Amino acid sequence: MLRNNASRAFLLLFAAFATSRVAMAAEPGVRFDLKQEISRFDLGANVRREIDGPYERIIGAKGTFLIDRITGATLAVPNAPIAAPKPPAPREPTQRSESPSPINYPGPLTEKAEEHNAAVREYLLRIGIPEAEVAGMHVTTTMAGTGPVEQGVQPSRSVLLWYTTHLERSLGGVPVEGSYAYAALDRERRVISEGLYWPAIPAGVVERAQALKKALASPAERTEFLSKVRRAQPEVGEVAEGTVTILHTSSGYHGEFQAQAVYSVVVRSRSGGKALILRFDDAGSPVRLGDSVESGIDSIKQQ
Amino acid sequence: MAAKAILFGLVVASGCLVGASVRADETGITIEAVNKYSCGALSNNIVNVDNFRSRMLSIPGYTAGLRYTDGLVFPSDFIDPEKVPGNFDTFNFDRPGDAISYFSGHGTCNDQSSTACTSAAACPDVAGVQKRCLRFAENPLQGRCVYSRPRSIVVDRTGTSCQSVNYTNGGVAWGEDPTAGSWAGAGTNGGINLAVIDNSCGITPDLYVPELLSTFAGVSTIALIMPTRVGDDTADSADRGRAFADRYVANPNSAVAPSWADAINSTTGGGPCAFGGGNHGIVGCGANIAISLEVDQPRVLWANRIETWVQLRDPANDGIGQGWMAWIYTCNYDCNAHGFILP
Repeated sequence: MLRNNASRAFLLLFAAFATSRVAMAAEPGVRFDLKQEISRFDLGANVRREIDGPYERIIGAKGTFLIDRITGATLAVPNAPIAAPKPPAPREPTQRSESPSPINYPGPLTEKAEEHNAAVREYLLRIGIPEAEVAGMHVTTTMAGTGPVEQGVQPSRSVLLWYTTHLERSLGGVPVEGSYAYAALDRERRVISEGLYWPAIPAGVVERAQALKKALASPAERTEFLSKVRRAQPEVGEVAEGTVTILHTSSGYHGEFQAQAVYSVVVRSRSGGKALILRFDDAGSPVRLGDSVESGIDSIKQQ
Repeated sequence: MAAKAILFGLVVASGCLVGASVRADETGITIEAVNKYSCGALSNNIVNVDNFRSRMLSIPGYTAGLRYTDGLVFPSDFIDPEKVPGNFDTFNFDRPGDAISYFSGHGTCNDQSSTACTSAAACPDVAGVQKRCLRFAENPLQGRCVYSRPRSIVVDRTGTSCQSVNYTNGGVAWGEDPTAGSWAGAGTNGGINLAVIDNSCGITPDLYVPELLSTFAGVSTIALIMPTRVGDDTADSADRGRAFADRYVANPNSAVAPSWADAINSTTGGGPCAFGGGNHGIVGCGANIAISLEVDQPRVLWANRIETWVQLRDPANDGIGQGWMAWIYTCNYDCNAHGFILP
């Protein structure tokens, strides 16, 4: 009986240990590559494929679907709406009245962002984006206008061309910066343009991001961490708020893939200039990934 | 017989002269960027322009122009010598033979004010500039006054003193060449067909005419970043230029100005917008905007919506006057539902 109780106790301890290990282990980010065959981007007629170094292009009469053969990123880019030379210079005095635009854009799916979000989410999840890694959505908005210079720009002249919905990637509750999945739909629910970069992220990176986030929730650890950050880069100053994210190299970077848990701080310019974005690892040291390295040589200055 | 031969020779000769007047493609890409500022260092402008140009040159079509960084970026690089003698954009930012020039660095946000408004009429008049009321908050709806003060590129040639280059009315004029003509009063010693100004507060919403009209001298399109809420601004991004070049690499038959607007979709970093969304290379609310100027509506719409990366290299497509303006922009939020101008 004593042996049975000991065995039972051992089993209970083992189960508790195993459960806690499962609770702590983070899920890796799953890679997803978009295949042109399942995309709703309309290439048009006369489709052909070409390989151009690291790029594969699938080219049609209406646009091109680009695959980066090294990173797996894809980009669907339409041709210009009309293939035409520039209209000749006017013979008559400069036209003042409006004439119909020669450009027939496809027309937006909807004037409501939420409706566009729902349609794109359904499309991208159906083609295989891992739903568990989608934490949210937002739109970008493309608008255009024109007018005679002498009248100035009137706000009412800018009209909606299309929305683009982005799926926001998150792993273990931590946003992933650098991944993107977006599409713009027209009123026929065809894809006007789309882009996708959804690389694999090691579970270890997710774990470190989660650990950093947890540490910064403790006032004492947060104070110690921020003092390291400020020692490393005094520009941080008294900026209180930063964000823990998983940062990885960009879709067009053909060097070694890097992904890292980082703490990002936005430092606004005191003189009204660009805002600086500084990133630190979980030890408080500055981080700069391989795609942020200068690569050129200055020209000789003449005048 | 002799007369026929002479006539034939004259016809051939005139054909050669016509052929010689067609100018060669402009293919150069010049980049200028500053990180080392005494008025607030940045860290990604040089890699931003490097990434743009290296991506553009990864396929045939364009060629390398000049590259200047930090202390080699002079104020005189951007100003036209015909407008202000003693300046040298002809040898730097607006060279004959170049198609694209890209600047990345600081700007100034002196177009913004903290004066509250609910319409432009409520904004105090400021002599010599136009005004707008820009959406600032909702519930209740409130705006902030903005003004068409001159826009600036900021450089720091010595590393000890920041210098502003006024590209609104400070003698900056780009794109003038024999094909465009001298209608802008800048001679014909320039060349570029696309200028990218990647700075803070590059243009004020709706004030494109007063802030950019004089900058056009033949350049087809000027691409900028436009904060759409007071206090929000461009982020020091390393991948904005590459995102733009990606569209060319993907499809050289895509339109240039819409490509700049669309590039915001694969630009990362920044901060949230008060009206939802945000990021995409902007801290807060803003847009990538491409603005074109031409003599009439058909030509300006062509420049702003149709001109491809291939057509951009042809000097015959230069702007020839300033009758109409066209713009295309992509906001990093829903700026259709949350219009940035409070009328």
